[in-house]
Amino acid sequence: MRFVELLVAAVLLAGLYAMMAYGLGLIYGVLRIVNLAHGGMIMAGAYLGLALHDRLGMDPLLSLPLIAVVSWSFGWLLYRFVVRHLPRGATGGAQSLLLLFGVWLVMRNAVYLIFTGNDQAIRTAWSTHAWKLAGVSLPVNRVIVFGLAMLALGGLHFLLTRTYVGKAIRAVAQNPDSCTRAGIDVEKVYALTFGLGSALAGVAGLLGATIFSFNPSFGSVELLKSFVVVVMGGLGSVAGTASAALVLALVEVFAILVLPSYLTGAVGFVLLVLVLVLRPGGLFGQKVLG
Amino acid sequence: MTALLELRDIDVGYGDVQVLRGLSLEVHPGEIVTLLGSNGAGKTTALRAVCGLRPLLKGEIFFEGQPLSAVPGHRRAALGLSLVPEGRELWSQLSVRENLELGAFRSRARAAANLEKVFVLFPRLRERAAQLAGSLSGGEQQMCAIGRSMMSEPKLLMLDEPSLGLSPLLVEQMFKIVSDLHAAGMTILLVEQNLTKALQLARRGYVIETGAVKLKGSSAELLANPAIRSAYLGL
Ligand SMILES: Nc1ncnc2c1ncn2[C@@H]1O[C@H](COP(=O)(O)OP(=O)(O)O)[C@@H](O)[C@H]1O
Ligand SMILES: [Mg+2]
Repeated sequence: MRFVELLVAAVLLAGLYAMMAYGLGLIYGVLRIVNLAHGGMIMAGAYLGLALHDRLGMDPLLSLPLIAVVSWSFGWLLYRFVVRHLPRGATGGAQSLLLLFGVWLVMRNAVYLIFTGNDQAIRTAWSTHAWKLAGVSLPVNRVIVFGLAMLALGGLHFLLTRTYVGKAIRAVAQNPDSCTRAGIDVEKVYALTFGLGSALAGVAGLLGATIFSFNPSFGSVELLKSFVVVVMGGLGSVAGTASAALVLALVEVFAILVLPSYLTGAVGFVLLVLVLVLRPGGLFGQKVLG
Repeated sequence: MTALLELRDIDVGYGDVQVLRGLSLEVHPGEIVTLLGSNGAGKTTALRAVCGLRPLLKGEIFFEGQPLSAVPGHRRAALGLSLVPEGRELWSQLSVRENLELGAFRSRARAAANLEKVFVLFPRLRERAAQLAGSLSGGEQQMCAIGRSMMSEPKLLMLDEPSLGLSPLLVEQMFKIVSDLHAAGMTILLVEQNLTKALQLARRGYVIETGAVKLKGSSAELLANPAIRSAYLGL
C-alpha cells in the first residue's frame, strides 16, 4: 500500500513539474534563450494567487485564468521591450542570462518588500481534503493540480500540432529565416512564445502554492528542477517533458524511502549529472519541437 | 514596361565585410533570367537582400515599381515574391504537408486548392505528405521547397542553386521542372553555378563577380563570350 501511495504521489507531482519545465523548454527551443526569470514568474504566480485569495477572497481556480493572462502579458512585454534588444545565441547568451537573472532578483525583492520574507500558503476549502480510492488516499488539491497541469499541456500540444499559429511556432524554432520568407512575422512569434512560457510558469506557481508553503525564494528550486526535466526530456516535446517529469518525481518520491530527508532535495541534481554524463542528448532525444 | 524586380545599385555586407558593391539587375514579367557567378560572388546575398533578410547599405530594391525598403521581410511574400533558398532550408522536423501549409501562411484561404496544385505538380510529395521533411531524399526536398514557394502564389519565383547536391539525373529533372514552371507563365530568377545549363534555359543572364555585375546579355551572347568561355566553361 505504501508503494502504491508513493507511486500515486509521484505521478501527481509529475504533472506540476512537467508544466514548469515545459515553459522553460518552450522558450529555449524557440528563442535559444535560457529564461532565468522563469523562477521569478513561478514565484510571482504564487504571490498573485495569494493576494487575490487573501485580499479579494478569490479561489485559486477562479484566479487561474486571470493569472495566466497577467503572466502572459508580463512575458510579452518583457520580450518586446527588453529581451528583443539583446544579442542571442552562442556569443550573446551571457547578456540575456544576466539580464533575466536581474529581472528575477528585482521581482524577488519587490515581493519581499510587499509580503515580507515569511512563509505563506494559500489555504482553500479543498486544500486539506483527501479522497479515498481502494484504500489509497488522494489529496484533493494534488489531484486538481495534476488535472489542470495535464489540461494545460494537452491544450498546448493541440495548439502546437493542430493550429497554424502553433505550427508557425515550431517552424520558427527550426528555421526562422524560412518563416520570414513564408510571411510569418518571427518577432511576433517570439513575443507570443515568451508570453506562453511565462504563462505556464505563472500558473504553475499558483498551482504549486496551493500545495506547498512558499516565500520569496520560491521558484529557485523549481527552476533547477525544470532544468533537470528539460535536459532529460528534450526541447518542446510534450510527451518527452511529461516522461522526464515523471522520472524526476519518481526518483524524488522514492528517495524518501532510502535517504535521510536533508538529502532528498539533491536527488534531482544527481539525476541531471548522470543524464549529462551518460546520455548528453537527453533521455528522450533532442528533437526541437518536432 | 516597369520591371517586376529591380535591384538598383545596392550595397550589402556582413559586419565589416562588404559583399555586394553597386549591384543592379532587372527581371521583367514573364521572363526567365539567370544570375551566374562563381562561389562567393554574392548571389545568395543578393537574394537574401531581396527577401529582406539582409539590410541594404545603399541603393534600393523595387518590386512592381514599389520600393521595398519600407516593407519588412515577412510582408514581402504577400507582394508575390518567393525564394527557394540555397540548401532548401525546409523545416526538417515538420511533415511535408506542414511545410507546404506554412508556405501558404499569407494565403491560407486558398491553401487547400494550392496544396492540390502542388501535389499535381509533384505527385511524390502527395505520397510523402505525412513524412518529416528531413527524411526526404535530396531531390524530394528540392521539390518540397519549390512546392512550399508555390503555395504562396508568387509572381516571381527565385531559385538559388536548385541543382546543388543532386545527381546528374535529378539535375536534368530539376531544370525540366523550372522550364515547365516558366512555360506555365511563372517569372523566374534562377541562380546557378552550372552556366551551360542555366544559359540554355534562360533568355538572359547576368554574371557577377565580387558583388557587382561583370557581364550581362542574352544567353547566346554570354555563351559566345570568350571571357566566359575561358573563366567559367574551361574552354
Ligand atoms: N553569414 C555570413 N557572414 C559573413 N560573411 C558571409 C555570410 N554569408 C556569406 N558571406 C560572405 O559573403 C560572400 C558572398 O557569399 P554568397 O552570397 O553566399 O555567395 P554565392 O551565393 O555567390 O556563393 C562570401 O565571401 C561569403 O564568405
Ligand atoms: Mg550561394
